[in-house]
Amino acid sequence: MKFLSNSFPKGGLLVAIALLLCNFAFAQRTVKGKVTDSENGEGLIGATVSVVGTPRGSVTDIDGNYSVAVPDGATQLRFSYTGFTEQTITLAAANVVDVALVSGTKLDEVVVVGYGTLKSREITSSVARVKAEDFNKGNVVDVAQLLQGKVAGLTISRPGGDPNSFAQIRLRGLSTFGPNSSPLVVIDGVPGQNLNSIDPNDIETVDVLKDGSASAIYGTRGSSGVIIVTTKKGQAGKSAVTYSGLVSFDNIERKVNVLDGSRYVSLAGGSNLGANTNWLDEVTQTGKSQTHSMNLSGGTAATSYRATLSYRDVDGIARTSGFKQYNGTMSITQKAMSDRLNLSANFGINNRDADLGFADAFRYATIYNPTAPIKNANGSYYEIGGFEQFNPVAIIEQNTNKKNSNTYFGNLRAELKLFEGFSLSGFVNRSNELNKNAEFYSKTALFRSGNRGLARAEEFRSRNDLFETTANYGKKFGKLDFKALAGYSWQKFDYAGWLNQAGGVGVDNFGIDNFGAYADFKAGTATTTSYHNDNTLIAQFGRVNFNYDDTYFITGSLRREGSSRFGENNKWGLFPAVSGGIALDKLATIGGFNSLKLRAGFGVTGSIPPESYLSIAKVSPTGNAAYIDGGYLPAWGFSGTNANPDLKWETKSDINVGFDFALLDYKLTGSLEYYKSTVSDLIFEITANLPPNLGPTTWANVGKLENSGIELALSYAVNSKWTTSLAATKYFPTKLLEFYQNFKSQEYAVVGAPGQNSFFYQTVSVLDGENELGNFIAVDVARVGTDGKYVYHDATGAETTDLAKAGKINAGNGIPKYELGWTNTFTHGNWDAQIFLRSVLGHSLAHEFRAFYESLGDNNGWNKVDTKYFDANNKANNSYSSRTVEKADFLRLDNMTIGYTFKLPTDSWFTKARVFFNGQQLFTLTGYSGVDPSPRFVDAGPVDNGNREATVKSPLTPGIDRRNTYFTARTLNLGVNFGF
Amino acid sequence: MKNKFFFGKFLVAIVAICLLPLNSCTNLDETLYDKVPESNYFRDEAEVKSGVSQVYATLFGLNNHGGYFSTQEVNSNEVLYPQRGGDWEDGRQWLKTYQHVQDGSEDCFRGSWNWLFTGVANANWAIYNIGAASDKGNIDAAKGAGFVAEMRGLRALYYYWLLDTYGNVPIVDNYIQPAGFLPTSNTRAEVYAFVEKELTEISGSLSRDVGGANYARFNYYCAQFLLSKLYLNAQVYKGAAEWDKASAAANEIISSGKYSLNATYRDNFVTNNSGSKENILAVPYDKVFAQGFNLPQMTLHYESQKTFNLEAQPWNGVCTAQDFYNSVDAADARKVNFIAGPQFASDGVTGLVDPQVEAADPDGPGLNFTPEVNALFPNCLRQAGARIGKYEIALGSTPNLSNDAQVFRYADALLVKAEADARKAGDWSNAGTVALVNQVRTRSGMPAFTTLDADAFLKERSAELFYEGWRRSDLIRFGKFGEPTILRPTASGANKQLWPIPKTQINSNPNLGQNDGY
Repeated sequence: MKFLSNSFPKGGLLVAIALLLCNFAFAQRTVKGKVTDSENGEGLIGATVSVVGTPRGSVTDIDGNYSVAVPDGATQLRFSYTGFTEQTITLAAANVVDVALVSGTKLDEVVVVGYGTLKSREITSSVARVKAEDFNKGNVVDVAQLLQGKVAGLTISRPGGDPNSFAQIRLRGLSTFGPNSSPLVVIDGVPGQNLNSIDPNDIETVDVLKDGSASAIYGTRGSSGVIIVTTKKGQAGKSAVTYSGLVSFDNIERKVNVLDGSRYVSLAGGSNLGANTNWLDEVTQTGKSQTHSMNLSGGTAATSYRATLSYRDVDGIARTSGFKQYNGTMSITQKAMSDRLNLSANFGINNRDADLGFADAFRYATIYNPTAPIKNANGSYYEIGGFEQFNPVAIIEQNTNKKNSNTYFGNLRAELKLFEGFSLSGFVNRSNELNKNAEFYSKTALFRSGNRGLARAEEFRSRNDLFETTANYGKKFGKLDFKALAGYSWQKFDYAGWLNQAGGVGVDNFGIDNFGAYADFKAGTATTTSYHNDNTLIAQFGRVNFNYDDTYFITGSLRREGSSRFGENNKWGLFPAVSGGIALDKLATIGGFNSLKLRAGFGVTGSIPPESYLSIAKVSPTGNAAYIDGGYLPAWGFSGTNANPDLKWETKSDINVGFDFALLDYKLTGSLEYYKSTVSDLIFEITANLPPNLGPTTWANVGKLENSGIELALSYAVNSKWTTSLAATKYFPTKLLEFYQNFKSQEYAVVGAPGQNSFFYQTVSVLDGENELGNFIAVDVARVGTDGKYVYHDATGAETTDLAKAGKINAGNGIPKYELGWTNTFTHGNWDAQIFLRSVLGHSLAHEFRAFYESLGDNNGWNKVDTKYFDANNKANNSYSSRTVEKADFLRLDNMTIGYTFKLPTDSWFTKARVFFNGQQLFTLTGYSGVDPSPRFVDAGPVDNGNREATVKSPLTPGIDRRNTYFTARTLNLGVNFGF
Repeated sequence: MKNKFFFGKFLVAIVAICLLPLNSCTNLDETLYDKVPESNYFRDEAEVKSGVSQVYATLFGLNNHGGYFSTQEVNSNEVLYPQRGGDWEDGRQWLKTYQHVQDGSEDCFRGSWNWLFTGVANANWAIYNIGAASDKGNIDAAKGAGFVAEMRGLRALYYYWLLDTYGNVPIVDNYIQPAGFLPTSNTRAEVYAFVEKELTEISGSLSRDVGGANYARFNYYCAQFLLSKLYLNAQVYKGAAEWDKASAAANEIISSGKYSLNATYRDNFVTNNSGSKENILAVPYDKVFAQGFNLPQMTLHYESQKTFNLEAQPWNGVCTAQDFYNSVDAADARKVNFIAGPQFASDGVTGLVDPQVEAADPDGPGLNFTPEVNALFPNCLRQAGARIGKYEIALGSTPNLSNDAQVFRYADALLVKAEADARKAGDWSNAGTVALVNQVRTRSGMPAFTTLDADAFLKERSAELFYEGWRRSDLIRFGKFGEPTILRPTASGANKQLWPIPKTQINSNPNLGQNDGY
């Protein structure tokens, strides 16, 4: 009971009565004091002081001082502060109460769960929290980078160094076939947000709901886990101004080596075009970036505010790639109605102007003839011409590819305390995202323009409207602490957009700004399309928490959710969850353990299909027109996929069992857990049976998937200067238990052109022993024979030179087996340092450059990649095989920071001054010969000859390193933080 | 119970909460913005016509790269997609199709099946919806019946192609089916009977107008042409000859006087060939409205872009088989079907050069289409093979030609009657046959026949109907389909005359049977 203060000291009742009597005499009084950290005596800013039994309260100022009006009858003050043990002080006559809070117990840390918070000790499901100080540092171009390697079970992969690409996020492996295999992002209570709509500097904490018992309260979309982002808010006390600035330099960390001109000509038999060009050097640069962020915050007991403005200007390592981003956020909190009503309003805008550039330049810089000159004598770009032949310098210098994104949101939350323990709240939010893409290809460009000029403009917007009401009740009944929540949520998503594309213009001046000038519009061959769709999610939900004597904990929740995307009879789904925990240390003294909690949970979550209107048969113009009655009459036909009114919720049920523990006087804390989940009625777009269907595909519930893993999180305070922590995950294979109708196995992921358009990387199968997802099925190449051709292993393992007799083997799996994140934090005097190493193990990658451009037998119009596997005797034809699938285990020094905080004189204008030096992705240890050994969780399919990558990416075939990976970058940062 | 009190309050709170957004509390209806629910369409004649237009528009896939037409042509060994080094390996689908060693896993057999049955499904969809519109009075019943007859005609055309290639396929003639319906294979004879019944039944309801508003529509003469083809191949399809019926059906067209041969062979294939009198059924391709005819992309070399100032670079794919090229007499005007020899830019004088030419090419880099195709795979030279010049390629063409593609041509109707009469008479040199053949032959500057035999007749058909999709069934009917060719030196068995049912369909529909030999 050492942290509890709800048991009165002996005689407490008498004191209370005495106080009560006193309070009859004093109608109201003001109590003041200072809240400090017991360890160092420093004031705690923003600690909460509440008058027990009333809605009154206050927060401490920057020095830890508070002042609170204590009304009649109130006898106790409760002091709480994140990361510190809460204390309740029974008031005596004195009007000054100073309190020293004790830190280090983590158990009282407040953790955000869906629609509320719980103390960490009360958590019975799998929830992990990352605080701002633990985030990855440096030039963060994607908010997901902050969390990389920090949470066991959360894999964040961002292959390549493209500043405009966003991470692939997987929580506890693959749990849906749909494109929405990333966790649901909830920012300040708004589900379904874009993680990158906020500035990284604004984030206070990130809570990750990992198991079904935690995320079931979000019902839909909870099945890939939930990431809850809480932004920083203003706090009462002195106003504060802070500034952070950063300058960064990016250089190529890893690239694919290729033959130089003379070797290309002599070994590969390439044409000698007379020049000697290092195409990789020609398309890359040192990326120079800068970031500035300023924020103002402050407030009084009744009103607090926070505002942030930030600017980042980032250049990538590919010439002409980068972005400029402006963020502005503002939050105001206001108390009213004798502090019973709490109103908060948040607004934010984010404007990003991106030069997407052309990742294709890396592809063609790798394979373009190294003896080709950049330009002809007359100044025009030298083009070899033909399939897959584009001068990479011409691609980036002649053409532009820009994107402008705007997100803005506004929300209002009102919370009314009706009586002690019971509150009602309402929340409305509107978030908008508007994206504009503008591409222009010069009239002199071969790439995508065919030397006639091509403009393409695209705009897509989305809107997310949310209305939510909740009721919260909490009460203590003796040793039983009871909390209950009930709520209703209505959310509507609206998507619309258009695209114009036209070619044929005599000048390069217009870009997308004068579409009327393009010949294709007159000719009728321009493309113009638009779309609009929406969908609604409605839910009723409730949750109860029981905490008996801080020893036994039970949480139960139920969400009934409906989605407009299903047919009439299948709209609603029920998502229950229950979890429980026992603080074993409360029941018996367990040797060495300061605390030990066993917990277990079960929960059901769901997924909706990625498109609307799937249950309805639709017609629309098909784009063609047949010759009817003497003229071309637009054809209207069946549109989209075959209607499936029987499509129903995909559900995932999972169990989670874990221990939370603290040892060595809380110096060593951690948790160990096991999970297993089964996804049923997987929603997937399958090839339809023809006959009788009209469309080629149907969205259907097609199968069953199983996933499991073990997670370990440890944190150890070695001494007062060094803390080390580890997040480790073991993933068991992802297994397909059932697949639709009669399909036992089916091939997916076409290798591509040239020459391998009917080869597939992987087989999705439910055959016994072959039902693991992510296996590469490849022809088993034994070695290069003396004649330079491949020698294969046949099915029996014997060698054969006949490809038709060659066996196919499982050449590796694209899904990682282990992931480790190891953080070390050091402080010494004014110095601080952080070293973060990350390792992902057990996965393989198909190195596609090698599958097309390594052997010397064919494809000699393109340069060859010169990895450790290059063999001048290899005269085989290029093809995907067991040779081109490589293990991609890696250990990366992901992040290293050294900082110095200046000791400031008391009369300084500054309150804080810190400088730091940071390096990101400093080195990578790996045997993988491609650019980036990071896992690839999704695949966009093959792209060739300058065509565009598919926008819908499949999670079914992980591990394919396609030929368009942006090279990885090493980033060095110099930063400052000032407080005023 | 002590707790009743607050649970009660809770309930009140929940009810209050739910009442707030009154009208939308549990409303999950869907609103369509950019499409129309099918149940809400076909409200008047214009909307019905737009649906009819869609069924015709499914034909636009006919001459698109890699589809049914390409598979027919390659399988007949008239043309081929050789593997040119790293290019056009395409999973060996073309190699296997050419060699008659396909197994049903190839993209082209899957794609052909899907396209043909998509045509059937679209026709069923239109037939159902036109019927429903007629029943509701949204369209004049007689007009509705006319449209339905046309749609049944197009469906019969798709089924004729299915009969000819896959043979034993399921007959599905109704759009509305129970959930999860998986059709069962019918025999080739049953499919034959279905096509015959459909064409016979609708003949009376089809228009006999030709050209103008009825151009490129499935009229009475289309039904007769298709019947003539059905009967001509009846021996193959159902094991019993129908020479009389074939001759009679073709004669319906000839004796109508509504069609005639164009002055020159080339007139049939020029860019502006719409409304040709020789044309019984055409796909009225247009670079804007009716896209999909991309022959120049499929056949021409990358550098040929400069010959025709094409908007997009061609793909250096399909070319003519050497033996077929040589079978057409040099003096025959129909040699215009092939593009061979040195190639020039659009100025006609600047020779084109292929910078990536193989060291092994004896001609060197100067672009020269040699009729000789050195290999089917793996290292066919980039410049090997006469290209397909059957249709005029207008200067500055986009990847979508505006030429109308021939499906049923009057010259073929003459040859069908000539053949049926000869086979019925047991005499290739009977006067009627020779006269009909000479009508076609002499137009192209070839001397008239006085006598004929089966080989000469087949050779005449070949020259006239190259790349019109008939070669495969002609060879089968003349018993020559399996005979070796230069690049397929091994004869193929009779059971390769039918195509394999695609594996994807066999796997997902247990009610489908596979053809013998696969």
